[in-house]
Amino acid sequence: MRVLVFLSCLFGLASSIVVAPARAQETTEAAPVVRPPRLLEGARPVPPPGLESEREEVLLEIIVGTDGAARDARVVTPVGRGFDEAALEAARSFRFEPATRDGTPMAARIRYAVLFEPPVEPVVEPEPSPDAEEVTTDTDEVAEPEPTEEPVEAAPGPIVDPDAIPDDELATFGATAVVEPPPRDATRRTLTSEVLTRIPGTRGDALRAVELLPGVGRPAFGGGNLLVRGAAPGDSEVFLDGSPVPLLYHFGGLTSFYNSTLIDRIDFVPGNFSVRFGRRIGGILEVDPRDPRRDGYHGNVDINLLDASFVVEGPIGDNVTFAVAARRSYIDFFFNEIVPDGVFSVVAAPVYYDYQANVVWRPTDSDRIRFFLYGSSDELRLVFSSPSDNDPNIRGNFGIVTQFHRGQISWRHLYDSNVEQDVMVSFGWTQLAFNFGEATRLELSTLPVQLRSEWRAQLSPTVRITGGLDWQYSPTDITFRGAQPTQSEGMPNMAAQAGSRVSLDAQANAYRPGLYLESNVRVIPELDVVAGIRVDYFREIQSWTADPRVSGRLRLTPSADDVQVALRAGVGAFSQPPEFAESAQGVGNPDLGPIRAIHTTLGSDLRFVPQRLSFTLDGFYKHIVDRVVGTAGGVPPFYTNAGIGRIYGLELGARLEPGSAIPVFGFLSYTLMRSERQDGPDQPWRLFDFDQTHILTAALVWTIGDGWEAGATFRLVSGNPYTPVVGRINDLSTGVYRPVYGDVNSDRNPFFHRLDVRVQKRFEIGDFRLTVYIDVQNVYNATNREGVSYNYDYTQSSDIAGLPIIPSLGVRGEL
Amino acid sequence: MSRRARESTFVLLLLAWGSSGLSACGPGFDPASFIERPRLVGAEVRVEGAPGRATPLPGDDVTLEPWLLQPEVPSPVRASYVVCAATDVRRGAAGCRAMPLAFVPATPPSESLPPVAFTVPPEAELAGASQLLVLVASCDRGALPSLDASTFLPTCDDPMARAELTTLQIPLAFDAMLANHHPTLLDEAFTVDAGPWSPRTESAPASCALAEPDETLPRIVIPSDAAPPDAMEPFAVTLTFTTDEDDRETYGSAASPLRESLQISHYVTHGQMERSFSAVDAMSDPSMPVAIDWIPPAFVDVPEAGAVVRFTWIARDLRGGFARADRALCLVRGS
Repeated sequence: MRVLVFLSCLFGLASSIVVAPARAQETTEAAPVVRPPRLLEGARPVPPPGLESEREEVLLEIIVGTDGAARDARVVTPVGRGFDEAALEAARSFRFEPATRDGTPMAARIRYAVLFEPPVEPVVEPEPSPDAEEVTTDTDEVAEPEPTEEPVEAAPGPIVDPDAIPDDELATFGATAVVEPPPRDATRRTLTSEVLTRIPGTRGDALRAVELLPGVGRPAFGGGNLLVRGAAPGDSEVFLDGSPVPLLYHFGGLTSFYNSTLIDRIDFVPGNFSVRFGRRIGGILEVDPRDPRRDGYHGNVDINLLDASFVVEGPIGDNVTFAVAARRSYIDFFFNEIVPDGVFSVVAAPVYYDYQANVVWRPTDSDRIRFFLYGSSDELRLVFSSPSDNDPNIRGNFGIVTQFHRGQISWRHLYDSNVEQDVMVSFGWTQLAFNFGEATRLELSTLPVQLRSEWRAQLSPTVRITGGLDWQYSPTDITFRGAQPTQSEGMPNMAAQAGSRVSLDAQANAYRPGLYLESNVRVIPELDVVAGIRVDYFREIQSWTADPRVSGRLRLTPSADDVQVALRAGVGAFSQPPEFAESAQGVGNPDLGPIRAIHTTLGSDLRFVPQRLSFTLDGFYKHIVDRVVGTAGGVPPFYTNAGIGRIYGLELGARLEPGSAIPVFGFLSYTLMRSERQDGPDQPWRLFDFDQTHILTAALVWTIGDGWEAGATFRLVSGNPYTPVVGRINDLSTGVYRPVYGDVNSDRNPFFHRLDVRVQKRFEIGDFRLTVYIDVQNVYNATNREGVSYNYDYTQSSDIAGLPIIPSLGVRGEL
Repeated sequence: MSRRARESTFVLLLLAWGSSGLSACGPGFDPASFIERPRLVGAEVRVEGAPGRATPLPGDDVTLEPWLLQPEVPSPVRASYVVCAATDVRRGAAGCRAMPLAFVPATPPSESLPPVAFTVPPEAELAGASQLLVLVASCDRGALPSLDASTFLPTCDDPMARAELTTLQIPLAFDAMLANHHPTLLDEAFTVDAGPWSPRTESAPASCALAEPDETLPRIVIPSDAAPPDAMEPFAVTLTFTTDEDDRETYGSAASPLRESLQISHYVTHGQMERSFSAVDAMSDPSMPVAIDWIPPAFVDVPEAGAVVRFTWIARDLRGGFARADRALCLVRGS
């Protein structure tokens, strides 16, 4: 998991002045003391030409090497107009007293706000304390607060002049020193807020940016499936602040449910994830919401062709901040105008909305409590006037309603410099209702409750231990009428027999407690080893699992070097319960066992620190056993654990971070992979439905200046496999032809390729910023085959093309 | 893009939107309603001594009459039949669980297919089967069909002939009181272009010149300026027919009874139907007839002497019951 620590006030937090030294005395002898870096010298930030009289503040994140040099700096809150570049230029000249652990220099990450202000000398000002506390949350080590009276040693010249900072600001602002902990996962890829909403082809949707990363497959039709290292979409999970997200996108892929401007970072773990996470055999996506701003009231409004949204945030008193956001689509206003006459009548045109409310309360320096309320809703209801030509069962009422609402409370508490705790409770309601005339009806309602608690303790300078509880309880009511459900992947969806409908009215309580324990040991200064075990229970199938996992990181170069090289490796066991329909009595097999997988990863990192350029290379192999497969003909017991799978590949990633010497950032990812499945002991190996041999993604964004920014994303991906039709059966009982399939997934669509472009221009009108953007997907209108459609008797076929050129125009105003 | 194609595309996008999956429909295909080759479109089970019953009981003598439709220019068909006890499957195609109850190696070439007679074995010999399976391998152009032993797909001895495998599942009843019955369309009222439309007692003539127009062969005139079939609003003729509420039987347990739905397939030898299927179910207004537009061929495609157009409707209750109705009309060019 993420990082660690903190803390100390370079200039001091008034409220902690009294407490902090006492604490330091209590803990100094028993535990290592981590001291943050202190600024020694640096160049004066030079405002952009013509803007010398304006006040701006640019928040930077700086990596300070063991030699005290600013190794890496990035803009956390860009303000544009050249101020970002000027702040970065200043940061490059900073010299620090390095962070130390028990007196030994160590690399650290800190946040600084660079202030451009005309009346006084430009000063380098520490980041407000709320953010400092925010990074405290996932700390490995905690540096004790520095008393404010400890002076900052000013560099020669008028660079950092503490006297230029009023006393009351000295009392108000602190600085954050974040010491990078050894990662808990063998491979973790992070996207920060700086880039999340600027990726071409995503329409500014932060979660879409994940598709840039190595190991992430391309979903068909621009859908929202998360395809990670050849795993099924349901094998991976997305977490929002530790709580699983049931529905990530509106209408399966239109836009994500969470306001992108409220996201701080997204961490993607394609495999070998920490024991903190379980119940999944694919990958993990962690969405980390940012805390609301406390430097006054702010807001933004975004209006585009599909929906409109707003965010309002600010402080309430000294210790509380809030953010409120909401979005609503307006497709329903014009939907009736675009539907063909006579096909169906619209009962409820498609509409979606989502909302987020976030209140952060910091009662003490050691506590942060976050109250979170969020939800999402999609609804569409139609009445088809006549049966479909291809399937007469498609007729009558068509309706889809999905919604979820969550309340979430999380508490982070620092017991002392060595022990910290996270507790999170979430509860809510999820509803899924789908019906297609009399043929299919599914209604699912669940009231999930989740408790997560994690304790981290630094037992010695080299040993850290983490223990956690991950408890889920989901009472669920389900009603189903329709054809017997089938294996979700691989086996083509064979038509149901006439009259063979199944009915299910069930109440199920998915009770899934999980416990984990993890140690992080620095075996030698260059080597960190993380070993853990996770135990889960799945009451619906009455099964226990125990998953041991271990990963390691070996640094081949000193952390102070401009070029850093590291090796990573991991191996571990992972378990996942069957889907509800697969184990439900009546349509599934309650005697199923969990699906199990072994993940192995070997990777390396190469980083050119001054250039902000990094490369990663990962090889991986995953072996899956006890896969759930359907029985032939869909007869009892309907499903068995007879399937196995194997996935192997290489991932190459290159990344140029924002804030380098050139006004460009970008990503280049290439994945070479093969994902295969075997549906039974006597069955041949076959390709997985979403096997994509080659996945190449390149994205480049250029900050042109004067508020202009332009970028492009290109994607070249192997087409998905599909099962060809080799014959047909005229089924008199149903009046339709049934396809006769060839070998499963023995054919493949052609390569997919697409270029997306995004151009935006930002206008500054006082404190108000107006951004106009156009995001064009598939700019050269490539016709990509996503599948094959057939005529009524499967003697004629034609390609199903993917999404055509889709321009999206929007305006965002920020205050 | 034609209206049908736009509709299909829209439905596809809707489905893709919701499920991110693939769906089987697409533009530019011949509609299922158009009879361009010999096609088996249904079959009627006749149980000896129980008229109208669709589900035979063990021990019943059964005659199966296949309904073969021919295009404007008919083609001789040969077929092989296998009748057996079916395996129970909920998805995909059923197979035979035991030796065939009846086997017809190959029928002689003909524009229709002969009925097949067999006896349902006693319940003890059915090995738990709840339905029978009829497999028909057929070839047009008078070719001899055979089933490939490895793929179970049919082949013809004439490479120009089209081979087709047809299946029919016949549900069995084990209690005469619970048996299903065929619906009927024979006594329903049909209209064409708002005029009455009666069945013919004899086959439709080969040419419009061979019969006078009447209620059994009404004349439809297509104007020279009629919008072609691929127009946004093509020239169309409205056909209607009534259905009987009694045709939709109630079944299931007394505690939770279910009502049959009727699925009606439309077939035509010239032009195309507005849609391939209609449904009569709980959403239907019983007081309103089923209405469907027939889109005739373009004016230029209608022969100078006119064309006899044959229509067939097949109703299924999806529990083994079938009904059929046929009508014909003359399509002639206007001035």
